[in-house]
Amino acid sequence: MKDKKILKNLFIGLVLFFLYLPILVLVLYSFNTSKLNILFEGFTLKWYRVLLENRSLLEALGNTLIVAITSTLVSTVIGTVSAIALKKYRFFGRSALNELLYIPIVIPEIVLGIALLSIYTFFHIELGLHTLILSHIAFSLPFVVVSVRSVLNSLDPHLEEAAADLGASPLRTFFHITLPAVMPGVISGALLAFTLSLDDVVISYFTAGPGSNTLPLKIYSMIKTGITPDVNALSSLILLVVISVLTLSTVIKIKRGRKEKAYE
Amino acid sequence: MKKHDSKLKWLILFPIIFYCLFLIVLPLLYIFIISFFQNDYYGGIIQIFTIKNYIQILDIVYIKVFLQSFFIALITTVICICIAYPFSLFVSEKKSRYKSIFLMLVIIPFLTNSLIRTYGWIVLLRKEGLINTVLSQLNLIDEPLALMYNNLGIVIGMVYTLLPFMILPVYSAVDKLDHAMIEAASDLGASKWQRFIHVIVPETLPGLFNGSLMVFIPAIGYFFISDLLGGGKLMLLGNLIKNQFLVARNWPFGASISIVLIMITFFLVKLYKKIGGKMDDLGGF
Amino acid sequence: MGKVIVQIEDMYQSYGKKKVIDGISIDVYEGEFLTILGPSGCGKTTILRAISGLDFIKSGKIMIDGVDVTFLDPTKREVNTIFQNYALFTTMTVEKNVNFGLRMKHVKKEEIKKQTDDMLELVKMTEFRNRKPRELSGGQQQRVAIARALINKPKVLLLDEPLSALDQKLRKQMQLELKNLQKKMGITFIYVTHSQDEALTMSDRIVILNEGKIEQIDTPHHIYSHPKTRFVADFIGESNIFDGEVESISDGQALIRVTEDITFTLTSQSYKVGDKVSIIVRPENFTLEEEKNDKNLPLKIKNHIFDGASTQVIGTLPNRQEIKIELRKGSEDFKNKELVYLNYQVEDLIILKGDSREEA
Repeated sequence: MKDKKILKNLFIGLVLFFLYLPILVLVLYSFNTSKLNILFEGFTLKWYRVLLENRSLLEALGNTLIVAITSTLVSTVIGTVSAIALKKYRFFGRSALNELLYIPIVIPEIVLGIALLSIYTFFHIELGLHTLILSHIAFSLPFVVVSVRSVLNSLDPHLEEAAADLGASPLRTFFHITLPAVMPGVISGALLAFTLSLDDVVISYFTAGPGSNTLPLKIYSMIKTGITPDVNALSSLILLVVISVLTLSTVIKIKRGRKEKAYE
Repeated sequence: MKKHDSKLKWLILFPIIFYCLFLIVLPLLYIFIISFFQNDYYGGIIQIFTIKNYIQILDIVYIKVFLQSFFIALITTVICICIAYPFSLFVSEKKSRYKSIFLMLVIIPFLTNSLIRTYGWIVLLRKEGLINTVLSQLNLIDEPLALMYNNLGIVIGMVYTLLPFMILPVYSAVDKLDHAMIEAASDLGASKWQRFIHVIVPETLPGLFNGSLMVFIPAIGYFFISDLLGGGKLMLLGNLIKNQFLVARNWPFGASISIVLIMITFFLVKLYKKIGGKMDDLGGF
Repeated sequence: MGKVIVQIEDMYQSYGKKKVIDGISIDVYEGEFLTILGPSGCGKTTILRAISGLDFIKSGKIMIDGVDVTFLDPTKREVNTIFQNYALFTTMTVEKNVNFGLRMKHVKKEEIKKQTDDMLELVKMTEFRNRKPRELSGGQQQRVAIARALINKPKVLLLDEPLSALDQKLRKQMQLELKNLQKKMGITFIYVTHSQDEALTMSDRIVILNEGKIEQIDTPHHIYSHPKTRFVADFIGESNIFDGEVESISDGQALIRVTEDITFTLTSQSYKVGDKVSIIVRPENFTLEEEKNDKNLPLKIKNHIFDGASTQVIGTLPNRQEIKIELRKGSEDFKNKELVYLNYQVEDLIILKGDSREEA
């Protein structure tokens, strides 16, 4: 019995080790004095200083954030309103619309990427930050809809009717009743959209124009030509931000879970 | 219904309808149409109907690309299942507090950019990389191992990048499993192995298939992994499509491959629905 | 009684630091319908899980048909369980659910077919054999669960609150069905419930369990008429309980004083002055009288509830103790009265010696 438990924990540990190995390596080498990244020679913060002077890398980071934030905001607002509307309203083409929304989720990213590129070319839309933002909205919006819908489906269907019955206007009902109720779905949808946008390589590769390089694209070209340790430094900083945000949210979740348990 | 209500309804629905038309239907329709057009030598499209692009796919060169792609995607999927399934089973046995910590630990790397992580693997795997250096320092190897710029590198990169997409749906299926059902099976005389095959696997099959879809389909298209870790030696469908659009500039041919890929995707999704999978679970993490 | 089929000897069980079963021993006889009854959290299900082998016990011994199974794997025990929510396999049809046990034992195909047909016939589920569990009603799911267990011809069938998921009407019907099935098959049933109604109607014997200890094992009749502890008296049926002390003994009659104006006179059996005694009266064992005499007790009527077959009267004694009375007939006579007198037959009194309040 005990041996089995040790083996199971060992397996969990190995999987997590596999997931963190390349990240740990990057973080480690961001403090390495050697530029060649082979053996660890000595500790330094030099690369973090170099990073601050690397214009094109910081610009790519800025672009990435602009695209991620804008596309997440738009996707979240449209996605939330649409999820509620699609549930509430009956209209011609509703089920077709519902089916269409799954397409960006399931088809290979590369297909969506080249399809968007083609249509931009067809309409003579110049590639740039705007096409990038539009493309990121294209693949992240359905995730928001699905996430909000899953919460909507678990709600009491008479909630809105009750509010209307008590004399609340439709707008009031939306902001005071429906929106707070679906908030967990909105937040997780927004987080998902944001991460997908930050992480995207494939679609950005096709829809970014000259001067709208994002971080992934920048790194992609750097890996091919030769990467400098300031990229490691940047990755470490991004990782730090991600870990702190997630730790915070998990701690809150666990604490809330405990509270709920205490009420039971 | 009042006229005013109806106007409001369409106003609310306008963005999503606009989105579906211009960012989903139109691009895909356009791809579909040009897949039946011809290309000229300067990368342009000639609007003459032809099915030659689809016939070209049947060329042995491209059949090979399809087979290689599916082979890599399949191996990636199988390895991901072999890692994710036991991992999920073991984690689901933990107390709920540890469960959320382990899940968080799985999600964190997936939130940092996949290219950054791929670069991390290059640092580890290349000839003068960390693994080879450590092994030769320990005198375990005389010559550096070829860990990347081959299929091994591609599979490592694919498995690594896509593993969380397998773990999350599989874990959620395993965690939802009614424990009483497993107890009922052992009460009815099913051995550990029989319980696994007859109860646990069938009950978690939709989650397993969900994860397989989320791994298999991207694995066909992730050209950057085969570019970076495969050294561009192995042509995958993703690389082929990319090349047709950006290098060879034969858009109609690239479009026809994309349409075939979409058909394959739809077929797999249909299969997923048939075994009882829900569409909304596909995007839900 | 026949031979002992299940023997639990001095069983202790705990989960983590929480002690759940605190030293119990039960003999279950072949072919009987034994019910384990107690409030939720008393350890009923724990006993079933110990017998089926889903949990191993901390100390003690469990024998099934003369074989020590204390450390035997559940797959090797000749008992089967009906789980609380049936735990049917959702991906399998009714038929596959029912013959699951036989398939796991690699029984021959023709044999499986024959036994499955018979079993489905027995529980009247033949026409639903190709349905999935979610396409069945609660009662039908229950039948599948029973068939799935019985097809293995268990020596004992363990049932863990099997009717709790059903509605009231269906529950009554399934009680009868279960009892008939048990008689027909002659299989020993160990049935766990928190409903005294189910326990009293179906069982041959009842084990009353409270906080991991056995309060009483007896036939339903005896449990009701001769509860051994205050807990049993309170848990089974309605009780009016009077706690008093032996004040004096004369001519073999003991005078028990409850309060200043409430006393009972009992035939002395070895009472000593100062002994604590609890006297329990079932509501139907009280009668009401209009005139005062030296035995009856004054009662102020508070409520008068007629429910067709009988009338419930609730009133208070001079010491403010609330009393429940159930009257079969003639209750109309007391409808407009405010003060009446409460009488009883001495032989209907249930007497517990010692201070029963401490253990309760």
